[in-house]
Amino acid sequence: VTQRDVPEVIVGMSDLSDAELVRQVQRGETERYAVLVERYYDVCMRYAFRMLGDRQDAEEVVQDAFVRAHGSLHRYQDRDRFRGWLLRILVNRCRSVLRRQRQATRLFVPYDSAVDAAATVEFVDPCWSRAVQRALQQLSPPLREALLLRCVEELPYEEIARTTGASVSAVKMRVMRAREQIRTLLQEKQNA
Amino acid sequence: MRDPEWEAIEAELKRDVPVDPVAMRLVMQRVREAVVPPWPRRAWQWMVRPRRISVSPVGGLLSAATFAALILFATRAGTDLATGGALPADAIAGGAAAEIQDVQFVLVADDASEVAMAGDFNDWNPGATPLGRTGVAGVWSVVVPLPPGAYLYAFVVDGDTWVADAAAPRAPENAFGGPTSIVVVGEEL
Repeated sequence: VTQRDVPEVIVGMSDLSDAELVRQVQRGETERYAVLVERYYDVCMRYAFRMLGDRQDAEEVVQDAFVRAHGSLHRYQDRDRFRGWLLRILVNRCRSVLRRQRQATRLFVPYDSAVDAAATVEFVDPCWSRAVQRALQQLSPPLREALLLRCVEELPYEEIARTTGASVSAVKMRVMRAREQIRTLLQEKQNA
Repeated sequence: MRDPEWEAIEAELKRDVPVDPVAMRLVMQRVREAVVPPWPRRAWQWMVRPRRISVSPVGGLLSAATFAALILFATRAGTDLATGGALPADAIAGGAAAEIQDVQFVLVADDASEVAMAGDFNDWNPGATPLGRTGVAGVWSVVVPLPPGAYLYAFVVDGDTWVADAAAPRAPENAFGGPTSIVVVGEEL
């Protein structure tokens, strides 16, 4: 559990909807954006870390996504959910990093003491935690992306299709294959 | 149908990743830096931002000459303005030529040890215009350059005795309450 200093601006703002906060930021109240950052930083970090496999890379990407989202807030419309809109930006940032790294799969999962410690606190076996992360990294990026957006972030298939640019049926197929592959990889690990 | 194996995998995938609070605060710092300030502040920042300027020798000389010309013009304009400021309002309104004339003031005061003048032209400051002894005993004199206009004045003998000029018309009233004379410089007045 991470102890956080709650910024003063956030106190009393947690009840406001995303749309209201976005409107306030659009009117020039920049500090209100801190509430949205506080609200979705965890979600973004989880996606980025699972996608990239490295916490430092994930932090850089998440920061970048938040800054870009703020810069593009004038394009945000109420009909979009802020979370989905933010995730779309994050997905694209992660894709850019993966393209730059030219790594289709990451077989080596770097040791991260903070992640291991968090697992221990939650009574999760760090070995299991790392095995899942390693198996996830062995999926191709499109499968990993679809799996995370559907099974972790629980976005509807239609929204995943809009976010990734794939058809709904392609997204469903990717999710199914990703589940099969990750299960197989973990069984192989257990058998070994 | 429940799938415990997959549920365990999914639970692990959904587990939060530790967040560095410093990194999270950095987001807002970057956002604040990226916010474009309103145009007056942008303009001010542009004005005060230091920058390096390359100037050719010829360009430098031309700039220096222009600067010197501006300084010269400003100095002359300032001098003219200062002179005009000392003119009586009626003289300026009358459009009289600002031709300064030397006006001699003379006082006969046998027993005086010092004599001075106070008037409109020196802001009634006796110390500003002292009279000197002439070659004739008891006769004091001073020459004051004055632009056209009408001036009230008086002599001040030994620092405390105010005396009107016997050779000039008396002014009807003096704001200081003592004897006062008037002198008119310039024909049109």
